[in-house]
Amino acid sequence: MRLSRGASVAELERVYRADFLRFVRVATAVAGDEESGADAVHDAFVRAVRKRRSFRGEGPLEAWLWRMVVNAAKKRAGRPVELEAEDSPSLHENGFGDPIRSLIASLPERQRLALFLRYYADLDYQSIASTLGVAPGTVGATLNAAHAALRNSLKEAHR
Amino acid sequence: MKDVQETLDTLFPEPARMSDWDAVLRDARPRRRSPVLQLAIATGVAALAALFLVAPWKGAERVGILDRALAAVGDEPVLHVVFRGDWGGMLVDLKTGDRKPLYGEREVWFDPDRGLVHHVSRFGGGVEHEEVYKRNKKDRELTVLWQDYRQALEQGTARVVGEDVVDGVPVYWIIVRSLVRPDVADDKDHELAQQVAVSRETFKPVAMKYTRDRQPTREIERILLFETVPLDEADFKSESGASVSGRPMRSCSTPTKLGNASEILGRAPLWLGPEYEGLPLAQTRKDSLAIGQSRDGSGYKGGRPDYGREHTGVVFFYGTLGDDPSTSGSYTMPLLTERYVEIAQTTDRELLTPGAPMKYVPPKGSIVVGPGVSGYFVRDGIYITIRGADDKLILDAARALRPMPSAGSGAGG
Repeated sequence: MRLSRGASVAELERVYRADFLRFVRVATAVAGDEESGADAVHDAFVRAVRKRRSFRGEGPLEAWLWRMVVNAAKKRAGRPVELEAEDSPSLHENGFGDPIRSLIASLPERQRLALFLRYYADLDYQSIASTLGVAPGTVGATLNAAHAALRNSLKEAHR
Repeated sequence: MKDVQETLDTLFPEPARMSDWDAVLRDARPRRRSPVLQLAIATGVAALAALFLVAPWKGAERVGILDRALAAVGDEPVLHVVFRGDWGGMLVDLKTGDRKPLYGEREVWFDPDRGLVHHVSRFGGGVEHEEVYKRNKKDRELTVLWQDYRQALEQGTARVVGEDVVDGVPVYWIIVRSLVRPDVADDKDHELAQQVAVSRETFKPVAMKYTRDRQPTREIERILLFETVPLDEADFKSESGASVSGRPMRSCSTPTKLGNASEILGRAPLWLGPEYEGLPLAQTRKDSLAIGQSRDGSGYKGGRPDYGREHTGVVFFYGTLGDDPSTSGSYTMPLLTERYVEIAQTTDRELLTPGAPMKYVPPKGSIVVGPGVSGYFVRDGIYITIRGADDKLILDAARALRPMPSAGSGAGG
């Protein structure tokens, strides 16, 4: 009896090459800066190659990889030395970078991750649910809560 | 939602970065060294170190080669390999004398989980032999390709030891396993190794060899196809009728009168006359073969076989007969130590003729000259095998064959 389907290196490479920029973008959002985000994606795929035989095939390979990327990015976010001291110039230029960033940072982790996966990775609810390990219905509620909080913050910023 | 989207786009714009899959593969390789390599290091294979110092494939490039080779292995559960057969011959145009090498192919499907092997031998596209069986000791090459090669790449014990060109394909040779063993013959240590050549373009295995002190101990095994496939794409069904391997056979070769030749063959045989290049037609024989199968006709599974129809053919031996030392009577046998040529022919393809593939039919006007001193061709619906003292005698005899007159006479049995 085969306990795990396993993922091939070729499959991992395909997903890596196809979605690399989306992975980095989400990981950047989670980790806080692009350098850490790119490193997190690298860490995640190194781990995926090593652990590819443990992929059980119970869900899409992409969801398995997104979970690894998000976990690697969260780990990177916990390393203070790798966080940039200042926000990127673009955030200052538009005038409301800091408050929005602060608000996003203050969102509950699940809301924040759901937001990033929805907008940066363009994942559907099912894929977000697989990545975060929650029910698909929970994703909708989580995103609604995050949107509401963000809209309120945006109104405040434009006043 | 547009406001949220725009805000997030501004917050973390799409990065402009280049992906680096090679770096991922490089860092994914474990750093552990195997006991075999430790042994090799411990025994101080200084020549190896010296080789790496001057070799162009050293350092980071070597790592990249091994990473790519590992990636090219694939992770599907079934190994599918096509080896070039090592029992080919030369296809010779009888008119022009042009020669072209011929090779058989051995296609193997291997499922390590079930230990199942599906082996198909082909020659010229036709199946010569086919069977599905449990892996055994003779499948050492499968263990090398499936287990040793992959493990060596994954565990970092594989070593790139050189560049080469194999049958026009630029390759890197990779040592998969090596052992240093003393030889009592010279009381020195020697490196025994299994090597796999990977294409410098695709990084898939294209050849393998066994070496002693880096010199091949046998012919290089060419790999024409290497892939791993999902179980549902693998083929473990055997065409049971295609193989006679393992089936009992009853064969007989008895001297007969020349006048019986046409009757045995069912038509006028081809011959070289009563004498050919100073060699007399010394013996005519009837060859027969019956292949056993189970009594239900489903192929042999053991027990008392049913031999069914007998396949027959005619043999003309030109040369010298001598006493048969295995008999006490006045029986004689062809002396193959003297100059000779022997023509075996049948209209029945099922009759196995020594040295000839069973199913392959050479193009009209051509003959396959085998690795030994035998040739095989088909003329006017007759399957002919020629054995002779040398290559030239075989080819000349093939060209000189002509239909035997119906009232032929000459040497008999």
